[in-house]
Amino acid sequence: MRKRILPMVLSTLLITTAVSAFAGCGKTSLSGGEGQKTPGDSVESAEEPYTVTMVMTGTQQPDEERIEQKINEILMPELNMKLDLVVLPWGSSIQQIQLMLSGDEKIDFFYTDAQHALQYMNNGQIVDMTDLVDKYGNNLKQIFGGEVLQDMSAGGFTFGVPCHCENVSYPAIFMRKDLVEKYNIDASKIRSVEDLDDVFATVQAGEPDMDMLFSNGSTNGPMYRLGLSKFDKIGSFYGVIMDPAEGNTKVEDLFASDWFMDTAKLLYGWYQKGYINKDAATENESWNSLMKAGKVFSMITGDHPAIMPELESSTGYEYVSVRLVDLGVKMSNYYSDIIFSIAQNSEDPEKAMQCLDYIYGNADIMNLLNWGEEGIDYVFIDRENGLIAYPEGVNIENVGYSLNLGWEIPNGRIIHLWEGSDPNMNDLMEESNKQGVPSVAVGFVFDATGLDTQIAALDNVYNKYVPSIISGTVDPESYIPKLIEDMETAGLGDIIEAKQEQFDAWLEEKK
Amino acid sequence: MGRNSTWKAVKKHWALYLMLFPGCLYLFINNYIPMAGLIIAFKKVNFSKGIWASPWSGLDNFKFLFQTKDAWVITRNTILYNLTFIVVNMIVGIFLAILICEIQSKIAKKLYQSMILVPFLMSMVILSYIVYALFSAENGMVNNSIMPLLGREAISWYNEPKYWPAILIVVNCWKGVGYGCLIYISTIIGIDKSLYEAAKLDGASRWKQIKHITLPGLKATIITLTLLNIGRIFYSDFGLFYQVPMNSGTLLNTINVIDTYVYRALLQLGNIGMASAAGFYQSLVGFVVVLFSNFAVKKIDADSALF
Repeated sequence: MRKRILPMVLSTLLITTAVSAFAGCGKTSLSGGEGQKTPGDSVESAEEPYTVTMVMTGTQQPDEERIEQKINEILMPELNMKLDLVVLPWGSSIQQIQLMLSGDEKIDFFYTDAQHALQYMNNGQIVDMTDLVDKYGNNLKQIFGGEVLQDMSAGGFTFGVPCHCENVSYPAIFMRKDLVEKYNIDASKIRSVEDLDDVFATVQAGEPDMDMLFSNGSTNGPMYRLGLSKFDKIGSFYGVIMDPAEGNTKVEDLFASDWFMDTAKLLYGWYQKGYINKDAATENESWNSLMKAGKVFSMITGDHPAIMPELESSTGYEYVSVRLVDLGVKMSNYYSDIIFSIAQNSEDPEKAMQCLDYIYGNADIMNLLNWGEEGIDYVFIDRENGLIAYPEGVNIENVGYSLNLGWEIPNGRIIHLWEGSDPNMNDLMEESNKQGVPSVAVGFVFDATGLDTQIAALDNVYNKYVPSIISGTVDPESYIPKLIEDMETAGLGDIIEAKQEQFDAWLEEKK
Repeated sequence: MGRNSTWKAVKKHWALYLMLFPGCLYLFINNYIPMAGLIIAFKKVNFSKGIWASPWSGLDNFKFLFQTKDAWVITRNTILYNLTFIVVNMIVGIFLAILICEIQSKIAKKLYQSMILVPFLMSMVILSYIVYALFSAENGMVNNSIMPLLGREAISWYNEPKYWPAILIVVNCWKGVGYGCLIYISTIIGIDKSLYEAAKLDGASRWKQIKHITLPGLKATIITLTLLNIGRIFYSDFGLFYQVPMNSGTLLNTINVIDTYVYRALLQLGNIGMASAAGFYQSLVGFVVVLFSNFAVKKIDADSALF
């Protein structure tokens, strides 16, 4: 008997490993993007063309290869480079970028934000762009001037370059126009978020199968959108500056603030009245797809001059919008929330930088990247003003390529405008951004080096309570006190202290 | 065994050893070489410097596991769930294996045998949506069809922790039982048929045959499988605890296990040093548990111990 056991264990082990290896086979391929590309142009060059891998986050487009080819037709003769666009899905982009940066995967520059870029910097996953920008950043310097690029650095390490897009937005409600008209809702009577109660009640009475307000537990949910001007999160939700437009310089706990409690109560009230989707806390679908499916009456998001055409073209409905707060603030991440960084495993950071800078200044490439190809993915309806729309027979469902991420592509200011946009969009943007009140912390980035232990613990506490609270699905009176207590134990105090210290030093330096 | 006789045995059974070779190679490459990576648990990894050149960080990477009161919750959950899984899957697995072996029709037997394995091959993500289709508060089948039939109020399942241990145990059993069942079936088939014939002649009923022949025949397999599972008692099926409850925060006290805790902690941070520290801790505890259970088995029945 004794002798039989060990061989048995071995054989069972072998079967187990073999089965698991077999089962694992299907999962190993990660984020395709190494599709074969034919060279766009046959330029004679001694050097092998360099392929730049650009990683963005969005919705994968069926005709990505066709657009890459078109882009390469421009890039090849100019720079002897090719662009390989990789679009990662929203749900998993952070993990996938992390994996790409940890492995030997081909990645040159990618879309991220300052907070993640700082982590990548501390882990040695991105390169210092200071000299690169200096040497190759002609377009960048022209667009942004020296100062903005300076705000992109921590301790002399330039972690990214900013995107050129809208920045100041106001918390606003967007309601389906057809329903607003159907139920005779006077949008001008809505002044603040409390006034929405009656609107929801009216519409719900007529449309019992619809959800009145889109809500989920993520940062796209109504809670944080309502707080767009209320607090400056300087990198993370752990320690924020409340009312940053009023010059407050104290870093405090967002979750212990009255604003957080009041807003959570408001949402919970709506949830109890059935205005919010019952599964809000676990909702994984994006607002676009739920809106598109016609299941939702309204949503709260940031209002800015370019939002309406973006919403209408991505959901297929028209909206009536009302600002719920009349204050727009340029937050600390005004420039650094949407940036491009160069990966440490880029085979040739110099070429990557060259390419990045070049596309910032090339409207044709930006249009291809965002809207696709003229005549196939879009047509001009007003060439003079640069207004475009889908061609005959093409719509949001069957378009081959329409990334529609004007805010995420490097330079969203030089692209065509979607029909319904104001032709003077750029001036409007400029105006809107000027109206924004700067936060006391604009330009400040928090370096969380050495606080990983606390952050790891805090992230767990956050996931345990916050998505349920901010989606409105649980009673804040009983959950928020527990949240505050657990955050305390997990080391929130250390983070707040470190933030305050760095912030005070930064303020001192700025004087 | 002397050196000489070992060599002789190898020579004599070379074909068998050759068959063993690919499996051993696989184990070596997949399970032994990566052990060098344990070093990462004690480093502050910097990708531009590489693993070896990165600075040492002592035990800092382990701190986050024990920082909060969650440490107790996740340890308790991991071990209790796994123990329950082992017991439930064993009992149900053996029960099904015996039933399937009692089936006379060959086609039916093969059919059931294969069908029971299908859930095992299914991805947890798919499974999570099957569960969601049942328990979704708004569109779920349970809330819309079953609860009204029973005259009960709809329940917001993903917000009610108390139901989840039961749901997870059932889901895990449904998914995992086929695999163990298959091994039990193969053991039962291997039991000498003459034993049953002799028993029949002596007038033993079906139940007596199962009790006195099948179950004792399964003993070695049961112990082996259990010991193997106990070795992984500190690992949890990530998909089961993360995907199936749809990452619902309100459930965390009842569904948070080490793997999900680590995932939630490091998803944003991407600190591979801390991730390895967690893995290191898991293997260490698993190792100790295996040694301990082997010791226990040895005390009870020396013949069945692994080593």
